[in-house]
Amino acid sequence: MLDFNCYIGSWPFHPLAVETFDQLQEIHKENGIEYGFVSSLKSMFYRDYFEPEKELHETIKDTKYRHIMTVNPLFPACMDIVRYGVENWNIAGVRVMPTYHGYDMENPFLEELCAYLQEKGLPLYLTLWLEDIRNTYMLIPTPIKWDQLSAWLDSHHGLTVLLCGASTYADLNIHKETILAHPACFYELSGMRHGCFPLEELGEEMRQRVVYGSMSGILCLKSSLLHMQMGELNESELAAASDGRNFLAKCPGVKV
Amino acid sequence: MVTDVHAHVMTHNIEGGKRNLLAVAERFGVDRYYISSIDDTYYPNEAAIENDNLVTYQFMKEQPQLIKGYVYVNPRHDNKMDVLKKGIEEQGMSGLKMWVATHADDPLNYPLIEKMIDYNKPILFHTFIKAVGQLPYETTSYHIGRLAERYPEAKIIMAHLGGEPYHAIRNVAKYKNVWIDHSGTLVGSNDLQHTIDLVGVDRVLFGSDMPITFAGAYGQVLECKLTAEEREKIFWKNTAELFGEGF
Repeated sequence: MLDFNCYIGSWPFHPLAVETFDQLQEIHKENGIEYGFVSSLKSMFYRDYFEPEKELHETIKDTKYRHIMTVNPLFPACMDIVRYGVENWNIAGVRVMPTYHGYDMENPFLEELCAYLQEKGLPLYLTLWLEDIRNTYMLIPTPIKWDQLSAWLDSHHGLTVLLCGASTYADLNIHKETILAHPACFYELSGMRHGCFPLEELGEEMRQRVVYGSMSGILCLKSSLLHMQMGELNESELAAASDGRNFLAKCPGVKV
Repeated sequence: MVTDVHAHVMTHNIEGGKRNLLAVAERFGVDRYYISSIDDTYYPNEAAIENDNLVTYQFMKEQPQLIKGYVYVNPRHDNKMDVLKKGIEEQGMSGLKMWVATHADDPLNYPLIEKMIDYNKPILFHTFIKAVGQLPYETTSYHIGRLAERYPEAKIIMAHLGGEPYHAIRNVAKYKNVWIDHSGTLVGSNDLQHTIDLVGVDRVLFGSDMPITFAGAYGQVLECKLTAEEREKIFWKNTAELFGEGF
């Protein structure tokens, strides 16, 4: 099993159970997860995120872990850093956080980034939520409206998109037609905080679009893992979610 | 064994809710739920409250081993004491559920709290602090602390880790008559561990907020750094001791 959505780094507002790479490796090992696609929380908060990205690269470079670069497309050097990451660090995708960095999906700088990722066959990690909005302290998140997201997805069928922290089961259920209409839009499990057996309730087609993601160390890993372990998924669905084969098939630029 | 101290049947989907509770009980090994029935309105009238409690009572009768009940009371209603008495004395409910009609320390609640002290039964308070969407009379840790101080004999359960454990827990840690459940959709990696670090394991109760979610809360107990004995306390022993109801 792989973890397609995890972080290292500290959170400014309270301690996390998993902050270091060693801790992340430990919790993965305890739960039978081979490795993860990991991002730096520090990059979220740094205006110039080159140094934390370099730090992340240095931390994981001798392991199986894959680097998901975190960027704010509004930073003037964004594309230089992304190109550097592709050419020198073998990054496996780029994460954006419009909810927290305060731009909308129509932003031309985001558009430039998306075009480049599409060209390189790399996925866009679109982070919708980290903590629950009710627990927000000091940050002022601006949620992406689903109608805007739907329109944006409709106009980006060539790009592989992973929705991270995708709000709630209810949101995914309401908007599943939008997700399924896109040829390469996937979601991960850490946002599935509602529903008793949400993967069963979402239906067969949506189970083809899920990958396992924990959002560790922000969120409890076992909470999302149990949705996979306790849901009644058939063998092929479970395998596809666990190793992300459906997702990775749409990411030709990711060398696993 | 697992006892879920905070679960619901939503009265707009009674049969679906019951099915979910039974399915989760089977797959996760839940031996007992303490449920209250609530509607999708924050401020139900007297008739709705009566119906909510009837739904709880009927499920208790259908599943006497699995289901225990809270009587749900709106402290603003003139018949509140009659509702409480019927729930505890006639319908055999185990505790009192308070939601968002008043803050926990509102004087309107005092007669209910005093009666619950007489009954020696717990009171479950929905408790939440929100950056957005705080309801006008939604109880926070502040109100729980004031109530606990006024009534040290009352057995108070503060639900949902108070909504934000880094805001809520330190304030109530000193009150030995406050227990804490971690039900709900907040699944921060360190939330439950932080709570245990401040209050110890003996006053932490496993709760889910079913049918909204279950796996989130269950996973947090598994992920905390606990001994098997400590985990058992959270999963069921603390609740059994608090309610005085064995299996």
